Amino acid sequence: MTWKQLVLAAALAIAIPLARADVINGESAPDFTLTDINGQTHTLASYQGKMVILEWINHGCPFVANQYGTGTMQALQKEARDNGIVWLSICSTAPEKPDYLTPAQWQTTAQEKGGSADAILIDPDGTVGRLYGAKTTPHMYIIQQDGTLLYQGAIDDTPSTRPQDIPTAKNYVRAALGDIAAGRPIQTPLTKPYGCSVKYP
Amino acid sequence: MRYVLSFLLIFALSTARAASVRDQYVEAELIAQNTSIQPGESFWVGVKLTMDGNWHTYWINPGDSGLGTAITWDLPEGFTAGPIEWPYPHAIPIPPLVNYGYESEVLLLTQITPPPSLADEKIALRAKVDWLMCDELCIPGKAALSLSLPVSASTPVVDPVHSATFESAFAALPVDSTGWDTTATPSGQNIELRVTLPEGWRTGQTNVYFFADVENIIEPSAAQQSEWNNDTLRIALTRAATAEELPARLTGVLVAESSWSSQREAMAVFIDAPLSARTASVPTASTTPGKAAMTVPVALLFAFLGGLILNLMPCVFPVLSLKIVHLVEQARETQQSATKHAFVFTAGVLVSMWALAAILLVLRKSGATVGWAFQLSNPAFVLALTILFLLIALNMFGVFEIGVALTRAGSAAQDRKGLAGSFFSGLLTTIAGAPCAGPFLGGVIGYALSQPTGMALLAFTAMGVGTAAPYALLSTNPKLLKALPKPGPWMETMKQFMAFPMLATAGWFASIYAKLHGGADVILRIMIAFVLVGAAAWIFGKWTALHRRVDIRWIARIAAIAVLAFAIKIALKKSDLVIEKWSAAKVAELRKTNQPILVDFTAEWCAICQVNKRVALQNPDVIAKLKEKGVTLLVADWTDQNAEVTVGLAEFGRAAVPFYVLYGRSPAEDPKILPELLTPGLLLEELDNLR
Repeated sequence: MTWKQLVLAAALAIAIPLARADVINGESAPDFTLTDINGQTHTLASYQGKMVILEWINHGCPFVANQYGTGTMQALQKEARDNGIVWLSICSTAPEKPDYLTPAQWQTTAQEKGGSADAILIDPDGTVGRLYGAKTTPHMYIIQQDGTLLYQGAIDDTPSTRPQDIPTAKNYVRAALGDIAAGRPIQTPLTKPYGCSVKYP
Repeated sequence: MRYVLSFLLIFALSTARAASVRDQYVEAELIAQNTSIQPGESFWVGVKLTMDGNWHTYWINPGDSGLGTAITWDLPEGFTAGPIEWPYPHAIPIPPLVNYGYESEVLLLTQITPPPSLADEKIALRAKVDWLMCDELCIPGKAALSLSLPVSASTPVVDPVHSATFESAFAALPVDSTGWDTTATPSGQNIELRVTLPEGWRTGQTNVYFFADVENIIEPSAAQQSEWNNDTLRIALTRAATAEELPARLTGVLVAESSWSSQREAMAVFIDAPLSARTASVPTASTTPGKAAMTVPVALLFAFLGGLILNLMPCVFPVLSLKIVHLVEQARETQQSATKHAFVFTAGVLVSMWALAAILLVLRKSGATVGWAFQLSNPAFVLALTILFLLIALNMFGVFEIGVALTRAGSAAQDRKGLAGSFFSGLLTTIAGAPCAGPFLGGVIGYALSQPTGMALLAFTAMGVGTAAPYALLSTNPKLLKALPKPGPWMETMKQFMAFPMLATAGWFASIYAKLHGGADVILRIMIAFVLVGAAAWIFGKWTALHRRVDIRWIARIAAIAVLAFAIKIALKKSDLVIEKWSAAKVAELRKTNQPILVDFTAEWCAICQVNKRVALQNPDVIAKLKEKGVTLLVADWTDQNAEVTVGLAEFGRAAVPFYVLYGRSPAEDPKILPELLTPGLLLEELDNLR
């Protein structure tokens, strides 16, 4: 084995885990900078010291619509806010897709839907979505005060667009927050997200 | 007359399409294969979904996104419906995702079994269908379908209207892979599916694709590499990134471009393969591995390389350089002795690797998200490492020696001591290496932890062997040993020089400790502790030497330990917050004198309590505010779940920590319960609101 091969192998040894998942629980959630629907700039790093929830969102998606139509997501947002958790909704829908909302349309939609997200961030080129490997709307991430990723995956355990399924669904995010609050390890820290595909460009 | 005609026309059309319902871009229809029902004889019906343009609906496993179509049957008494028999799906790419489903048209087949006797002349079958249709948009669709069929005792006749639809649906149903030898072997983030076809089946198919019928096992968006070797096909699948545990069997459908069977049309076969982690028995001699498959040997090679690289880490390198110094000394000894040392050193590395693996695996089992260097989140452990590295540096500077008393106690004892030293430096290599290598080796560890226990242990072993390899190689090779420079005064110089990276490592650990432990004067306390550790080492070195009197040596040992203990005590001390221990009596006493109280129900094992403590309770602004408002902070420590605190919690209807209660000045006022997650802002606000 030559030195070149050795260096290559070493590089591969580092690259393997990178290929496994876009972001890994227990590791640092990658920083990003995005503009919200009101033109304000937000960076993840500026929320250091606070727990942060990321929610991939697209109101044109029936799975998201079911969460908001039943007030489920808004209730979770309120609980998070009451506990001092920062909630960032991220929209990675590309401008050429039918679900795309301009910032002005977003402002109206956000008003209609209610909820208490700290910001709705626009990611039209999908950079941050791809950085986090966001696959679906909704796709949820919980980030600890020190920037460590704690949870990634589905909003709940019942892939459905029907309001009647909400009461019996186990909300993974709420369960994870409960586990964190009780000082337990998160019981289900990694789940397969479900929903509509993120409408990347 | 015109009206009658048009009425008749509408009537005729509506009966022919009676069961067809359109919901936006998809038309749904319930159809039967036969024109009548014979009592007791099963028959096929199907829900036909016709999709507009690029709209698609989903298979039982929708892939990366979407939702499989669901049918709820409402059948007359005595009728039973089987499960949906799904025609094989198509992979629908929606970069970067891949979905599994159907475009343009699909017939979802179901077998209905009527009771042996039927009194009615006509039977109505009803089905509620829910589907998700997506193009660039996703829309949930639903339809309530019904189909009315006459009952007849004679053998049913196939309905010519739908026969073609049923024929093509049956042709698209996967067939049983009778006689196939199928196995699935996970290795790393790959799963290799291997199928061996018996006589009568076609081999050499191209564009083979495996659809797992259960979600969250195989990554739908990952490319699948397949390779034929005679009658055996190996397909390299990628394990779903979110699949933490794998089921016992891998089930699904294997689809090819042309028929699998030489007798009939069979584009898809059912696969049901045991999904077993075979760590050692992967056949490699007769077959070539799949291109993308990460085989066990390759995985172990990477682990080995990872271990090798560990040697170059800044905090391991000095340990290794020490070993080389030993080696130079040993070069004078017999080859046998050098080999023995190499083995013991390797054993030391391996034992510590296994210990680490065991801890990580146990934590993994308990569901905790752990990573390499997890031990660095424990302040006491970090402090111990800080002091250990400081002592190593001082030892290398020559401030003190360990075991000088033994040097003249005979060669056998000296040999044992030497061997113990080799073992210890093996342990030290892992302990010291772990934190430094975190970001670098983390991936290899992450990989190992994603494996079944046996494979994980094997990976850790490979890593340990990798770490010990250079030293072992050097020690067991007489030629290399001879190539080493001759022992001399340069060794002492090198040893002293290598003390500096050790000091740097100690400094680095100290900075971690400062972060973990917190507090404004933590740096000062660490520095004082460092000076005291230095003093302890100096006392030990100066007065335990052999030329001292025995009683002096003992006093010096005790003094050195006492100074060291004092150093640790100073480093561990927390002085930021004047806190008192909680008790129900204490609360009552303070309330009587109208003093505000903040009660912190906490426990050492409660991670969020520690986070709150560091982030909020020890925030300098919060501390200042607590002092300003004259609030007494009472800590109710529930680490041992003692009865008194349990009762205290129960008074608020709680049985868990963290829990925070803020009492105002007035005893008449109810205490305020604070959120479980504290922030400095929230605490400051609450404290400001205190009356």
